[in-house]
Amino acid sequence: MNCHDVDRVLSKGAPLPLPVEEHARSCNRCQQLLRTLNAPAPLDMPSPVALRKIAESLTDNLRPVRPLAPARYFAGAFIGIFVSVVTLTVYRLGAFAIAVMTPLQTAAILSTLAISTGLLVYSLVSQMAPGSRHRFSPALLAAGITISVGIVMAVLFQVQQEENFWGNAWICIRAGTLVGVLAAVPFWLVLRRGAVLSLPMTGAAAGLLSGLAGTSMLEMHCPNLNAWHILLSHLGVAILCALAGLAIGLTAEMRGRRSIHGSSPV
Amino acid sequence: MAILFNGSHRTLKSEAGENGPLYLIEDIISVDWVKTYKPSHRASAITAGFLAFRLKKYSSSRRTRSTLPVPSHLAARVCRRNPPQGHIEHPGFPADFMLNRLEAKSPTNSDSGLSLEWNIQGQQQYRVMMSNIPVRFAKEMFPRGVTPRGAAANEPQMESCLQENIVSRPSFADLDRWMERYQQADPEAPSALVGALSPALLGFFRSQVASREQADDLLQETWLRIHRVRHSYRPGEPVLPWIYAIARRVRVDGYRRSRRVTLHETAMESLPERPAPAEARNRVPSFETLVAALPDAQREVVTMLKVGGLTLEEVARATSSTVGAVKQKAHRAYERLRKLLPVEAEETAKGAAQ
Repeated sequence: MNCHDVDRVLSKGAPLPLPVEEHARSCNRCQQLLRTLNAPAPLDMPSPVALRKIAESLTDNLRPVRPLAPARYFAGAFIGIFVSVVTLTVYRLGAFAIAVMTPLQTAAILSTLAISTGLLVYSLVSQMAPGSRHRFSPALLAAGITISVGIVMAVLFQVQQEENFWGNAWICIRAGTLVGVLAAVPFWLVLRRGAVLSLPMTGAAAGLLSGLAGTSMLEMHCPNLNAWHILLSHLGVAILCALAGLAIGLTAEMRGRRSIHGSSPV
Repeated sequence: MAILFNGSHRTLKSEAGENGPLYLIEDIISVDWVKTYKPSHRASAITAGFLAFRLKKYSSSRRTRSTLPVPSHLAARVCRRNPPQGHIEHPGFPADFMLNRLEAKSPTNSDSGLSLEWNIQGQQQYRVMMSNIPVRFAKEMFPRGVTPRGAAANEPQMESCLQENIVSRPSFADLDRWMERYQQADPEAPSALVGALSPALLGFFRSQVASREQADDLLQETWLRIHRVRHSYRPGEPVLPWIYAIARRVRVDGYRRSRRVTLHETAMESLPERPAPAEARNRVPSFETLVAALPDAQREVVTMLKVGGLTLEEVARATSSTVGAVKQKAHRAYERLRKLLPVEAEETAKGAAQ
């Protein structure tokens, strides 16, 4: 039992086991650390006048509000929008890719997109209510999903010779981005019902989800199985939309900060 | 018993009890007693610091081998529910004890005090009266008044406080109910919430920003935002992570704003140096001093755990991260704090030698 173990136990927030406790008794550093951490927290009392003013200002503007609906409703809304947009556009444009992909490719790519969508929806719903539980860090999740989908695409599809590569890529990027924008509008309408704290983060996640709608549509519609084409123009749509969401979030946050700075305090 | 509080009490009364001698001790809160436990604390710190006991928690079947820091008022409520056994880590306080009851007398006058009963080694029964507790501290411990004798105080959060150690939150029991009433526009709810949460929030901001003025501003802004997004609280969910997530965001925005303002400011003249705080002169490694040296993310986690009294799960929710990430940050923070401590200790030794 050493000092490192004491740190480990402390960081778990668990009571100290006896060996750790015995070590702490014999180790000056641990003893001092424990005493410092266990001393009653210094409380700086706010001025009663200030508190009364805050409370009064809150009471003045008090109106009943309806609490946020349960997370499953929002998750349902996001998934419903996603599926509707993808289904409608694929129905309209045709599911040519399904016909040329092997069943393994179809199953693998659609499963990956479905799992990614589910995880993003969960993350977005968590971000709508402050203090919600996050099983994955939102920033890492967005990056992880992009990388994972990219890896799956690179593994499933092979590099092929392709004429007019950039022309084909542009067509797919344009169509996918349009679908992404189509999905982004209802996503935004759902998101604004919650209280998003980090606009850039949520913007990026919502953008990625919209982009995945575009990617999913392209994966079912575009019969081009060249790996470079898929990575650049299909996954590129998701990345493009995520970056657009991030940029919109950053802009909105900066504008919001300016308006808060200009407003009078409570 | 008198030896235990040598020189630390003014009067000692002995009465006969059913299970042995019964002692009534008055004014045991004293510099001597406190100094032995925390040698370098100032007298003013006694009021806040030294009613905290270190208990060893026992389960009914076997010893759980755990040491928990439990503030006395928390201990009181826990003891009523499930009396723990333990010992006070004090050189002159040798015996294991069973803390049976701890209750307050009137907290509104200067004679406010706590009385507690315990069995020392299960053989004798003592009653210790602590008096002259400052009104401010008594109010802090019992914000809704005195717990009546024999009243049940089985508040569920007390056990979780024990498990997660550190901070008591006596007034946090009904926060979720107050939040619901706040959403329903109950005019009493804002003042109840502001009163219950502001001290901890201010402590959170104080440990993150330099000045009291900034912390006050951030506190106001936090309540403004809480008011704006109060609909986003879901009844039944824990309130503290919701509050701290908003407070954390306000702090980040405040930091960015102040940085932008600072960049556009030009220093006209150098300000006189701030006098060193008393604790720095005394070289006491206080929590605030130590935590100030931590990186932002680690300081935030440690402050929420220590000042806010949040659990690991609640900190994870408030910081939009996972429990694992919070544990990792806390672990690194403790490692870093440990590295800082010997320096402080050496300085203390040097100071003492001088």
